[in-house]
Amino acid sequence: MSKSRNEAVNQRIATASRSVSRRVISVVAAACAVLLLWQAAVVGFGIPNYIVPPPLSVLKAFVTEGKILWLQTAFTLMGAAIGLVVSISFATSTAVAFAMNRGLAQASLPVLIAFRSMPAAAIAPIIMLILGRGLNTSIAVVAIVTFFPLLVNLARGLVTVDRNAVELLHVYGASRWQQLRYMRVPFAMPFLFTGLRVAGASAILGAMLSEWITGSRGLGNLILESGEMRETEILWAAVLVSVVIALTVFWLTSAAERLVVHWRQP
Amino acid sequence: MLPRRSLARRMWSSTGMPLAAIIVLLGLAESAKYFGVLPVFLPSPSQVAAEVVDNPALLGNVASTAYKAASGYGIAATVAVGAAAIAVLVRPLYGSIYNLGVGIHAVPIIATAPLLALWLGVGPQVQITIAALASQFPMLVGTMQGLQSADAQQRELMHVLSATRAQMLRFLLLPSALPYLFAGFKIAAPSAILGAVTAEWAGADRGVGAMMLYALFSYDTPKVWLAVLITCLMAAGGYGFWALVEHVAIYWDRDVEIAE
Amino acid sequence: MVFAGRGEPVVALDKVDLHLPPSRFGSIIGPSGCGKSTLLRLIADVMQPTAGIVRLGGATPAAARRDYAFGFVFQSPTLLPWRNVHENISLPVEIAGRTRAQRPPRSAEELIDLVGLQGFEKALPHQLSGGMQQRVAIARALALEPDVLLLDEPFGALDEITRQRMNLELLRIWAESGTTALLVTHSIAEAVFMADQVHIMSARPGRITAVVDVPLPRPRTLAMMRSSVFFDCVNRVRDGLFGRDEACTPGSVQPVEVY
Repeated sequence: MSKSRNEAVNQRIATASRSVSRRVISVVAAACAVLLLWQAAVVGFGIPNYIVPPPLSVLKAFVTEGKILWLQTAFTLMGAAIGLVVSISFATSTAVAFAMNRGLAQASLPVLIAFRSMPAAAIAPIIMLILGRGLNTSIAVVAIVTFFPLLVNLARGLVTVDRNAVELLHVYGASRWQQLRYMRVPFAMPFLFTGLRVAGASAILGAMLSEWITGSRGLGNLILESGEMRETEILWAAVLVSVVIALTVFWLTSAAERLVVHWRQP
Repeated sequence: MLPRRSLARRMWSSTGMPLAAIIVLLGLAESAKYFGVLPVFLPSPSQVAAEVVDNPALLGNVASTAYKAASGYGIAATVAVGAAAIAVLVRPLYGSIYNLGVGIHAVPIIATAPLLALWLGVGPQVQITIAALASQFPMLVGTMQGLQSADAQQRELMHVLSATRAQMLRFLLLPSALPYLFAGFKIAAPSAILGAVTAEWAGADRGVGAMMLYALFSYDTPKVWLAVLITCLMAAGGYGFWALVEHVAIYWDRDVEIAE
Repeated sequence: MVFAGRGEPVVALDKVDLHLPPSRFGSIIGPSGCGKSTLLRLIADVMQPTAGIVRLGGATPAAARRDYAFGFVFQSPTLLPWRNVHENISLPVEIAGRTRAQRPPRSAEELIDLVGLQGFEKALPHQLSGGMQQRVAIARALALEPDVLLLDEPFGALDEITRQRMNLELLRIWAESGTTALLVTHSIAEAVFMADQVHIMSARPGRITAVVDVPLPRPRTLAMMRSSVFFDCVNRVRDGLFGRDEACTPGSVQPVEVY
């Protein structure tokens, strides 16, 4: 029985990866087309450098300033990643606590609703007051900004269980931990991935916004500074990197979400 | 008939208790300040209140940000609703319009602000544009979903009644789209406010975001908290306004959640 | 009637020959997937046949629909949730407009009285029970005084008790309105109780295999369900449904005439 289930899963992964590769090819093709048009437009219309630099000089900037670019990107990604890890651990433990103890959940409900869409723009200044400049602020901002959507989604997922399933496990005398493991966690997976999708984008944005405000190193600041110094090639290179990161994160988490959801509802 | 006691109980738990909790917290903060035990990054409520009074430019800043956010929101609403209508009416364009909205939504404000500053120069137009870009997606998705929300049997009903396309729009598609529209407008309002404030960080001389940045660099803690508070209030206000309109306009039983 | 499915094309309906005299009540019964809903939708011009012809009193379904010759009651009430009872019932009249003077519409108040919902004129659909919502749907279907009332398993979602009550209600409404009625159902008891003729369908491909006449007098009462005549009809219908399938040569749809 488990063998056929594995087969079904493998089948699903196979079709998914086929469509993924098709997707990647079409994206790459579209990107090439855009680059060509871009170059043609810049040259053809004689657009000055400070408005839109030609793609070749942007590519050159990637090469010459490559080290700085990747270093700053690494800073941003690190801040976002650490913040996310912190946030996920806190959110998971809190969500599990909520699932175990209804009273705790009820009491925290108004607070949760109030802070549900905590914007990075509001959190970052406060955190900077507390933690000053530097990577710590970024991590803290990312952690807080992603904590609430993750928690809300997880908590909802852990308690949105089919009534009948609850009764079934109760009849089998399952302990609360067994309930958690066999029933609540699988049911909660789609919600977790929805939360991750929202959290992923917020994490990147939060990290970069913190850099803006604190002036610490990272991609966000690279963009800001090169904008102020009118170094358009680097600006565009940095902007492109941030856009690619944002789109990749969004696309990865959406795909993961869809994969899990389809798993649950064949 | 609800017994009076449980109605009072409900009001207490939904509004009264949180309000009481806030008042208690404020009182604690104030007394902590009095006793000198307040941490340096936390102002007392009285300090924040003083900031409101002593600040002649405050109203101007709030108005500036509100104007930028509202203009951006208005532009986004017009474009989003129009684009959504086209997407639903002209099927082949559906995917492209949706993907365009998703793409704009996924690109961080960080990336767009400096570029727009280079292109559009100094002035509110940069913030207005960013507010528009930040708030378009929920309205686009909401309208698209709303216009397609009529189920198959309702459409069959219209067909059986020999309704023309215009009648189908008027009697079925538009009313069924309304809840989704309002849900989208509701969610988009705070995004416009936050977009405007964040855009002001990248370079603006007036506005709540500019005030926030200035206060941060001069370590003016009460002003920072005030700016944050105002931002949150404005965002909540925008959401609350549309929630109120929705509550008045949608009198039938409809639970709506837009898929983002 | 052929549906293009994901695999091979599915022949949904084949060799259907249905005649219903005017002002009579006919019912169609058959197992799931035999195409009874499809048949009803062919009559109502919701679908078009891939082969063969459908005629209502000599007119095509499309012409009949434009002439408001029939009213349709769906499986679920399909009321517009933002309109109250009165407005929902007035919907056909609003859509038809004043040019359709050939069929003077019944007033909504009359119809509300007819279906027994006095006092609920201003109620919104979500405030009504399932049975009440279906009554509104029936009233709406009668708004333009149609010649034929088509009902697609209207009481399928209701419990047995409400269902039998609604059956009596529908018979009363039908008798007072004088329309022809065609009811699709999957309940043998309902099919026999309501109709003068029960058309039995079988599946794959869908076709009418037998017609059972129900000689019970009108108006029908629940007490008749104890009579041997009723029992006999039910048995015949059941035999028709569970009897052996006959081989069928594929062909095109035969004319369906409803007078």
